[in-house]
Amino acid sequence: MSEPLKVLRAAYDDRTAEARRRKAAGETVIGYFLNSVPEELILAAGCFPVRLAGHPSRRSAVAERYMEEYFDGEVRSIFGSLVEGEFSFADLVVIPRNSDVYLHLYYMLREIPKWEPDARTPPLHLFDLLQTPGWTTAQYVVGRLRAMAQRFEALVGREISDDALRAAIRTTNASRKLLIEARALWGGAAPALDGVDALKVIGSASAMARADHDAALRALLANPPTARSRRPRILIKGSPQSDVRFTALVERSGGAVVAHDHLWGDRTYAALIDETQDPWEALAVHYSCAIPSPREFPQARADAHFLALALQARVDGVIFYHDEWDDTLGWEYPDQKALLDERGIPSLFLKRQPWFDPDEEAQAAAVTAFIESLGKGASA
Amino acid sequence: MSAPEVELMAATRAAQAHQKENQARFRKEVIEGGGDYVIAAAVSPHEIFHTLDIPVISLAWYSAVIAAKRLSPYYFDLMDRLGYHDGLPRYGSLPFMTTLAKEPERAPYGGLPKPMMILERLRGDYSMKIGEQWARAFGGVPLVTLDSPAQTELREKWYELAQHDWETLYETHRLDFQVEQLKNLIAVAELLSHRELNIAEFRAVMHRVNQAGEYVQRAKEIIARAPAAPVSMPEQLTNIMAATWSRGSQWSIDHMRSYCEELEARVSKGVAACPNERVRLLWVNNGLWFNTGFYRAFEEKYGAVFIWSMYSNFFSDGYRKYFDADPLRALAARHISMNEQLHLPGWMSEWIIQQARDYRAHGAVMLVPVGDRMASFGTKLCQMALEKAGIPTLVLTASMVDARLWDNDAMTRKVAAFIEERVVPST
Repeated sequence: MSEPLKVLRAAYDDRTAEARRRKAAGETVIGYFLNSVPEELILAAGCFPVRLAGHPSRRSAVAERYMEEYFDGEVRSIFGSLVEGEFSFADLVVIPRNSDVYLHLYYMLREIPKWEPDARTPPLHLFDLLQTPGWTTAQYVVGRLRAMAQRFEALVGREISDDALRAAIRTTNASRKLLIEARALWGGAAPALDGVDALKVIGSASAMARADHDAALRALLANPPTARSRRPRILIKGSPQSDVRFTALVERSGGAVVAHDHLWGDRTYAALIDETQDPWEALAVHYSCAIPSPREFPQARADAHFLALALQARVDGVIFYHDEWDDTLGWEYPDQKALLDERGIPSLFLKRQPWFDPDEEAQAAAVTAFIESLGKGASA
Repeated sequence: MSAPEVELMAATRAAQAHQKENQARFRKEVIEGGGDYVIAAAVSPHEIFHTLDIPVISLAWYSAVIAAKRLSPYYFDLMDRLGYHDGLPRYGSLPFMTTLAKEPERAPYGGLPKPMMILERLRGDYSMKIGEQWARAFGGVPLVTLDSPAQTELREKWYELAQHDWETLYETHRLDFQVEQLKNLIAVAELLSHRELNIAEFRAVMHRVNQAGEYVQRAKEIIARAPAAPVSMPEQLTNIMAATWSRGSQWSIDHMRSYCEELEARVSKGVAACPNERVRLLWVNNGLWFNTGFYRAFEEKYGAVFIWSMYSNFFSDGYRKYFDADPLRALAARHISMNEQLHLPGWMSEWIIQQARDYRAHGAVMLVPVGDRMASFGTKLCQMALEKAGIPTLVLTASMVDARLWDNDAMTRKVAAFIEERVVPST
């Protein structure tokens, strides 16, 4: 295995390691969830940003006690980690509302000290993103960005200047451009990386210092692994794949996962932030409208991005994977399947999949049968 | 187990007649006459359309009617056939399914014709998705959405601040945004309907909602203090909801006044919905619309009445917004946190505990909805808070609208056992 890939994998596999190291060295660490918190604002404040996630092996008694089973499994895992102090290295944790389940997570956490006085939840900040695109909402989001900036400024004791924000946008855009270039490693004509490593390359960007990630990625691009053998090319779409379990299962079942369309996937870095505009407005527009989200509107625009990704990656099949308690993506599925049918792209729908302990035997049987059905049409 | 026979209140019959008049008007003006109407989320500013004299069909009301007519299984089967998976929200999707079915003769009141607009108040992540597809299914109608900015701080005792100190309670930055959204909505409504919002009439509508809310508060006090409840839960719902859907009208004020007078007369004559009332229960969370008879199933054997549901007095605690100068800001305050007050841990439980005390309740039965997880969140903490406050609480997990998932015998046994084992011993 190449050294740069080893570095990226290690950062993904222990995604809070660098943040903990930096905290120990005296830096201010701000954790966040999902893909809609502007890292640029954290960087401009001079803090270290780290994207936090749940862990499928982390069932929490405290979450079972207080949270309804209808909360997404990952959210229950996160709740346990926050209350039980696993993220207490963070000086502040930002919970974005690009899903109302996370809004409820925030309110639950605010209520919990009444019931668990010893809870070790770090200080929290809600970033209130809304759903309706447009001028009125953008103005509101700018206001929420300013309020969040004030919180960061209070942490570090200095103001965030427009120049610092512009510089941070240039930094993250440079990283996005590198990832766009690197996409050929797993989504190109002759993939060198499998879908698991694709998730790790993408996901490690939000766990490492930007400069370190960029350096490792440049080195990987300069000396890529040899191309893999030909397999049916698969796109995974649907609920966030914050861990590699399902992607690994698809790979084990004979597929080559060449594209991911979810909150940890290829569309998370595909859009650049406009560097020519007012940086606050540019951030508001980017994080409200340009990133993948379960609440994208109109659906036709989100579907166009999905279809473009599928066609660009020349997929042989698409696997829709929806969480057990999905109440949103399922509304889009009939239209998305119809779009694929019109283009002769086969698809498999795995609905209502538990986050904790899914039936992997059943998943493997369904995926294997699907990949076998793709037969000799495979082009990878 | 069945309910004792008590004559229906005159107010209830009047509310039912009013409902029929509204349906007749809808049929004549909209279905036959092709007039404008709006499909709107329950928690949205109907007051604007009431002022413009444009009929409103409330999503929640139409869902409840579909469920009450036991049509929901048919539409859920359709949902399955169209590829919408069985875990998707049920409550808000039934009316949408009546459009996709393209069988207006099967739907309540001959189905919903093409509206002037669909108004969604965004709750959860899916409302806009349903609204978008529904607007398309009608052949293309404007979808207007109202976003719900999040409350930063949940101040204690919202129900004491909500009527007069709403600027502080709901936070200025949220109200500013909400007012802008309402201005946009009014502009679209005026443009589409070719009508103008009369400011004086709008102000009067807003005052009349407050007046009706005062009568709802009076009804609460009568029922809560009476030796035995003078009205059953289904009749409470019929009367309060009729006034809620017609809020802002003089009829709603007159009706609530008559309702209160009749309640007082009943109390003074010793009339009780359940003459052998011994146990008072709260019905917590959403209503059981397809089986309202369930509320009365425990009266004969146990003398157990459901004395309160969240619909009993939310009109007084949640809707009333007194204002001096700006009725639009007051309207913004009315809807900005409605779901949060009813469903967020903290806000939900403190209000319900207060109601339990006011109504002298002995226990609570809480519906945890299947297929609408937004309405289920916070119920565990609410149950714990109620128990901590000394109110025995039973949780029933069920769909609010899908009769297929309701096992009446099993649910009746559960509530009966709860009354016998936990409530009666504590009375």
